[in-house]
Amino acid sequence: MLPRRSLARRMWSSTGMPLAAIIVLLGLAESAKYFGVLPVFLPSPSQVAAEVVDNPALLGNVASTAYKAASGYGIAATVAVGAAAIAVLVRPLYGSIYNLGVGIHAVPIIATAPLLALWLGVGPQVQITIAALASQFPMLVGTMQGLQSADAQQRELMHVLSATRAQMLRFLLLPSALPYLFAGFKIAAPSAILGAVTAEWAGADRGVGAMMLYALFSYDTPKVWLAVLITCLMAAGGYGFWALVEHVAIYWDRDVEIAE
Amino acid sequence: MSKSRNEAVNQRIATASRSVSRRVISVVAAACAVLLLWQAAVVGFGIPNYIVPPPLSVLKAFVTEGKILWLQTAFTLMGAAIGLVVSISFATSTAVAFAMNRGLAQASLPVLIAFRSMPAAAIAPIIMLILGRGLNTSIAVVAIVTFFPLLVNLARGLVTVDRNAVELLHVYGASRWQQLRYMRVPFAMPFLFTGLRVAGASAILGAMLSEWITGSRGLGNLILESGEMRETEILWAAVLVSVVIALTVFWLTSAAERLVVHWRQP
Repeated sequence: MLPRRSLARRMWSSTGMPLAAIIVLLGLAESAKYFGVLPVFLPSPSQVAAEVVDNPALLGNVASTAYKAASGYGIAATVAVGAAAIAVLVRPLYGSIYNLGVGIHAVPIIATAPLLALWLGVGPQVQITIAALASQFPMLVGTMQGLQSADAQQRELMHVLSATRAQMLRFLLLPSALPYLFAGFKIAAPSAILGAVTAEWAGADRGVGAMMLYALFSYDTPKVWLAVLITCLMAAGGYGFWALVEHVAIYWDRDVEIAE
Repeated sequence: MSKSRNEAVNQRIATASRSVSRRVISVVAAACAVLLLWQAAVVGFGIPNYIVPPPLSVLKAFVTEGKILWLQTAFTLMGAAIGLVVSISFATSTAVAFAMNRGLAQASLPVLIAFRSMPAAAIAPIIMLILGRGLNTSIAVVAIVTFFPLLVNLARGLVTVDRNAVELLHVYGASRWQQLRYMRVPFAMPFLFTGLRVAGASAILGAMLSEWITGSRGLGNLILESGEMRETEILWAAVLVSVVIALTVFWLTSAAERLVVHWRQP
């Protein structure tokens, strides 16, 4: 049993210390750039910050990528949860649904981007589709695993109490599935961002990925770093959002692991 | 007793091989059926070539453009393989250092986990800024992308050992190296293969991603360029090659994982 630390100290070690480390690092980088010891591919933090200010297209690009990633993620979540529910309810379909998910997951998503561009035309639909394909697997596996996680004794108890199917779902299956669902949703969020950004490399007029590519080809280092930073923040933001929802929604059995 | 156990094992192997051959047959049959349907649908409905080419012309592309396909595939595979080897050696040595020094592990794991969630789409451009265009970028991206799943799994494997084994080796007065050699490494093997299964898929993806963004040679770039040039047959051939590679890597690593894990969970 760990000794209980005071709230202030816990706050310091969870947010204060990393924050202080980041500030120190940024200061070091800034002064290193000032004295000219930083290599050419590393911009100073102030250069990156300046890029935010005098880049009017930035907000549009970020919004575009966020929209594509979120739509793809939403579609993937709906389909994956639905498919997993069907797989658990209709046993004969279980294997094929799981294998389909594995197959899509194993295929390198970027390989499909030019094909999808031919089929769907150029536009956000290609990036949305790829974001969906890239993020489906953890949600599928999480839901499948979660819906099966209620153990036999609990099922028997519900049976003995003569619970209806709906009550079984409401009081046993859903609560025991939620931790796994959230674990899947958390892992899938960065993948959706990755899918959207990568698909934008293949050809998009707007978005963080397009901005990244243009900056790379004109060797605009601060802009590349800004795009990279935004990608990371969006990925972390997606993960953090679900972690927060999980924290609010359930108080039991957090941090379960789903099989990758 | 040991005889019945042998029989059980033999039976299990027999069932396994039966199920494998059945599976192979069913996969081949399904593939043939899909190809036939595909050809029939394309010819029957008169689907234009640029949307879905008939399989026969894709097959022709394999023959006529075989050399290019093979060269580009070799480039991608080389980048992925070298990157994976680099990553395995780094991950193994880091994991061993972690296992022998708990303080080091506790200090650096949070940082490593933060890095792990960094998407490949964010790593590739930075590596390209540093290393420029070419094979080096592919290798570095693959090495970084695959490092974290390998390390996390290996570190977990080296730490989660059977308590009884720890106590036994302690009683024997085993040195740290002996503990590592006779206890931690064998216990970590299944975890290594779990890591490899995750890393294998992302190695191919990482290599293709970096070719894509740098525009250097390789399968990823071939797919992108043939897509832009509307050379649909080559595009399909290249996509098929990449899918086959990815599925082969996935299948091989899963099989290896099952093979190694089976002694742990009989």
